[in-house]
Amino acid sequence: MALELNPQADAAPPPARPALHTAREQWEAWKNVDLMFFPLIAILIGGAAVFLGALTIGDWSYWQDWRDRRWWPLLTPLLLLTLPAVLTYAFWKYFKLPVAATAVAVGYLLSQMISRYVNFHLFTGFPMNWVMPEVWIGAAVFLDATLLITRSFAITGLVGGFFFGLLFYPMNWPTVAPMHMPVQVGESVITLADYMGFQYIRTAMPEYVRIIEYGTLRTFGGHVAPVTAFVAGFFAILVYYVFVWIGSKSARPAFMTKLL
Amino acid sequence: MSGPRLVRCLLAAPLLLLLALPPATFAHGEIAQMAGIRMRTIHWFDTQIEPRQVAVNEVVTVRGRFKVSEHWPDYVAKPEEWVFLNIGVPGPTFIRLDTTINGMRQLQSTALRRGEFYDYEVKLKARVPGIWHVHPLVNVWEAGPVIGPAHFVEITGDAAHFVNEAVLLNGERVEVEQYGLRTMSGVHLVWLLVGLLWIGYWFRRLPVMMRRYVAVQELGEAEAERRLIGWQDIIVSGLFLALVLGLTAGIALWANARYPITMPLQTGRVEAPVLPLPGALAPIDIEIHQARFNLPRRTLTLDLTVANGTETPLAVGQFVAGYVRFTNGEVVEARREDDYDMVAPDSLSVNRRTLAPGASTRLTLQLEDAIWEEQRLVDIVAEPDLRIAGLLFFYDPAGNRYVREIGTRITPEFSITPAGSEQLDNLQLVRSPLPGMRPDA
Repeated sequence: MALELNPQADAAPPPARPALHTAREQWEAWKNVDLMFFPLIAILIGGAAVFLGALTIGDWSYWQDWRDRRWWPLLTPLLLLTLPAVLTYAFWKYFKLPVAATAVAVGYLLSQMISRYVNFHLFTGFPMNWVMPEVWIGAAVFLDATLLITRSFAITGLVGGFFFGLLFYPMNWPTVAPMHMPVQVGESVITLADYMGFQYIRTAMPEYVRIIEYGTLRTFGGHVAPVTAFVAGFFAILVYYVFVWIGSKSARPAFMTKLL
Repeated sequence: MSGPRLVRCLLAAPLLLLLALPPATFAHGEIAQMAGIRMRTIHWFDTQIEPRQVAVNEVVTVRGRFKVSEHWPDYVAKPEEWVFLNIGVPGPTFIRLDTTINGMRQLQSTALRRGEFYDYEVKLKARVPGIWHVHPLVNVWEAGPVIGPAHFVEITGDAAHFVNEAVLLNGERVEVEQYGLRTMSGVHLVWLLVGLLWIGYWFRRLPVMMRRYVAVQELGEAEAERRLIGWQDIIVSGLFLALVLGLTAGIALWANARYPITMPLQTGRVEAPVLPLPGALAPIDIEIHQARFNLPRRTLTLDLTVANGTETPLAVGQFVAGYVRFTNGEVVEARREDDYDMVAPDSLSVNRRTLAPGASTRLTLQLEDAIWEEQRLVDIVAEPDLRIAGLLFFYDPAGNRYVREIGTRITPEFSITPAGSEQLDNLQLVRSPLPGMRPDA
């Protein structure tokens, strides 16, 4: 309609100069790249992390009665570390910016909160305290800050990777501790998480499906969680190295050219 | 009205119609499960789901009995390992208050023995208003759910009025759906703030990404690192490391103080006791000579001899296969309560009305009804193991009931008349209305 009102518009001459003419204009354009690109990539990779989490962590992340002392603090940080490690390489190699892990963790938390609230709480009706996602932003900041201080992937893996695995359980303890309060139901004493697992019906999720400390010999007495956290730390070092290496391969321009 | 606008209106009309329609309630996909599995694993009977209309917070009781089939398929994981008596509803529209199997409370998993009868009772508390199809079901480890019969239960009222309180072991009375939520949300917010502060520090002066990218490209990595990362960045990073460590320790210690007595998640298996069903030991022996399933007529014909060792005449009143009941109208009164009801009244006919005491009687039972089709049990003829099982119910004049399980291979028939006569187009017959088939079948 606007064209009809202004028949001269088609005849307008092309711009006499490029869009970025001065250094000032280029500076402003670069700012716009930050304002648009970084939030977008944080949301996208956060969403990708949620998708990866659904495929690999799944029920350990969804339900409070899956968050045991043995498998949840071991598998969850190892699987959550993969995407930040891949992206860390590109962000450091091309921008010298130690923010990739934190950006993934923030995007992950925001995306997960939306998913849990809309899908699990509003749509399927589970209580929010029963499906709260895990938080690992602190571990991601630790990883990024270590990289900045050391400027070395090797040392970052050794220190940052180790603490990434180690800190996951204590970092999340306040979000699971309320659910581990004991409740007496008849002659049995179970945790509030077990009780909610019994009460809130999941047709395809019977109690026996949970892998609760399966196979431990209890060598360290009752201190299962700290031992698991240390084991997660050691494995996280390896995971970090492997996925930074994958990041180094996938961030090569030649690879991207082939891909595109 | 212009053309494009008309097209848009026409496209929007179905959507608006969809939104205007009242929400429909659908049954579960129980008929998708293999007929052989449904008919040879758990036989459900005496199922009661009461009351059928409740308000939010009121209690519904699901009770009944089941027999774990002696003819459990070899290709299905066995119930002696891990099973769980569950409820099939669309999500937590109810919460489960209690479950007992043969009087034993079952908060956790259990094991069932093939060939045994079990009584069960599940108490549910209404939570979400709507009309819900409620089934009992048994989850079997590595096999999946074996679903039982269902009825619709209507919940009225307002979900916002739902209350679920529990008393913790320390005596604290808590609202289950809210407990710990503020702590969890607070912890998430604190860490979100830390993450945003870290990102905000690096993006405090725009532009960042392109400026750094150009620097790396023009100066090389080593020189770019030297120029782009200053002492202030290193000090701030060190402070963030300390902040993360301190905050992690601090909130973990705070949680320990706030929730001083915690315990690990519990797991285990509670074995339900086995109790004899009344009449289970009565001397009634059954020998099956032949079983034929006629696909176009949806009829199972059982040729068998029953030795009635009791001192009273008996009549065959009912056959239960999985969750489907076929009743003999002369002996058992039954009616379908809704289109999804899994009972076929007057579908069982017997060539002898009574079985004399102390005698062996040759019987022919015919189970003819569209429910074979409705529940997709006709698929039995297309399965790798042509075998069925079910419970046969005998009744004496005093009203006592005797239950026996039978199981046998079946011979499928793909024409209305016996083999050797005119062959009919099977597909055409399946789609044509037959006597006894309901319009909704």
